[in-house]
Amino acid sequence: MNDSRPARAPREIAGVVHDASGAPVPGAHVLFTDGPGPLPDIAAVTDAEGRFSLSAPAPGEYALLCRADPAMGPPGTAEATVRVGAPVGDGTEDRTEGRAPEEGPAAVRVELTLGWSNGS
Amino acid sequence: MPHDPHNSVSNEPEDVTVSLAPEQEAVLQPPSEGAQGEVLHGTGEGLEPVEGYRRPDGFPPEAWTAPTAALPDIGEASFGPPPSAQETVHGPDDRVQITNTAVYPWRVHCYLLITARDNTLYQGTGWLIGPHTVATAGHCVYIKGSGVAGRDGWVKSIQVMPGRNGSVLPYGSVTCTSFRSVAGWTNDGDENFDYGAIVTPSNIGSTTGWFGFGVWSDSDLLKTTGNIAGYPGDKQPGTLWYAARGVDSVTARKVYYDIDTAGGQSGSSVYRIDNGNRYGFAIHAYGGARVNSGTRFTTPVYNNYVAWKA
Repeated sequence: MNDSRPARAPREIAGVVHDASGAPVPGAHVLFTDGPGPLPDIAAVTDAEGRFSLSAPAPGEYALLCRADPAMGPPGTAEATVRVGAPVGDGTEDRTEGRAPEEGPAAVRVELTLGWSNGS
Repeated sequence: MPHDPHNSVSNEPEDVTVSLAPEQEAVLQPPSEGAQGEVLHGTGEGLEPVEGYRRPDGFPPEAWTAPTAALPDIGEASFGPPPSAQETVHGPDDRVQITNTAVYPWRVHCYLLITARDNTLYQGTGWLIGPHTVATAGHCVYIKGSGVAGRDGWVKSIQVMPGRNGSVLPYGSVTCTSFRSVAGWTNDGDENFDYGAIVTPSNIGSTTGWFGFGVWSDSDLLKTTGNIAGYPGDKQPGTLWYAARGVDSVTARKVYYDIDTAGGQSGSSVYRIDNGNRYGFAIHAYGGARVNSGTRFTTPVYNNYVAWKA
């Protein structure tokens, strides 16, 4: 069978959600609202340290939306745009709009602060 | 023996996995309205009786992102698409919040809090199909192709919350550790086989009721009003939202529709109302540029759910 499609190369988008005081926000939902193609309609939920992780199935620009759970803490939303480069050598750098990128061989890092949006 | 991607797999030892008779005849599986409480009946237009809700007439083609708005190739989701916008709410957002979630049919829909192997947390949606069984997407029970070491595989547990409405859990939360999917998803990560199930330790479905499911022809599905209720992450967490529109197109293993969804609604029932009865015809799984999509109930999918139904 001749299948010319490229091998799937997912990249991790790992982040943390803070409130305005800098405290981590548990139980917030983080999801893709835009991306380079069809995506699984699943949302990440932040843990006790406010951490979350989503998988980007292909290189490209992804828009993230975070919505806090008022039952678990302060309400609020946050947005970010994350660019995910190819895993190897296409010259594209990973970056998070409005934030300095962190170095990392695998995960693209993003910080989200409730009530603050850099996406639109 | 040839590889059958519909081969049922489980996170439990083989001797407790129900085997599937390949010649099993496909017939409609009936719904149940549950043992207690209020029941709402659908409208004659195939919609749920939500006050003020009307099925959108659709929006004009020029409102879409032409000319690159062709139906996405199935392989694009799994193997890397060409650039195109991903948006799961198409045109005007006509989702409506459901607050009376303790009544049938709303209580059939379940908020899923998923703990992966590496303890990362995710949220999805499921729907009861029997006293002990919740249908959902394969990627809600088995994580495939995450790109993160230690995460792929059967999830550690799922807290199933039927009819959750914000901080209110009318039927509590059931912690589940028994899951089902098929080889086409767990081995191959093929979105055409992205379906699975959760087996609950308690018979919560006997109280809440459940939806039926069935197999329909292409021409029948293309005339169908599709209904989706689920837990979208772009709304207040844990709140149930509903929308309905027509089916856009079908392929052998997928159904495409522009019913609005968002991340968190993976695993929702895409269902129809026939003679007052609700029947799932797809399991919602992906958001796309012009249309969203779910795994279609074909005969092998149907047979697996019959085998998993308990």
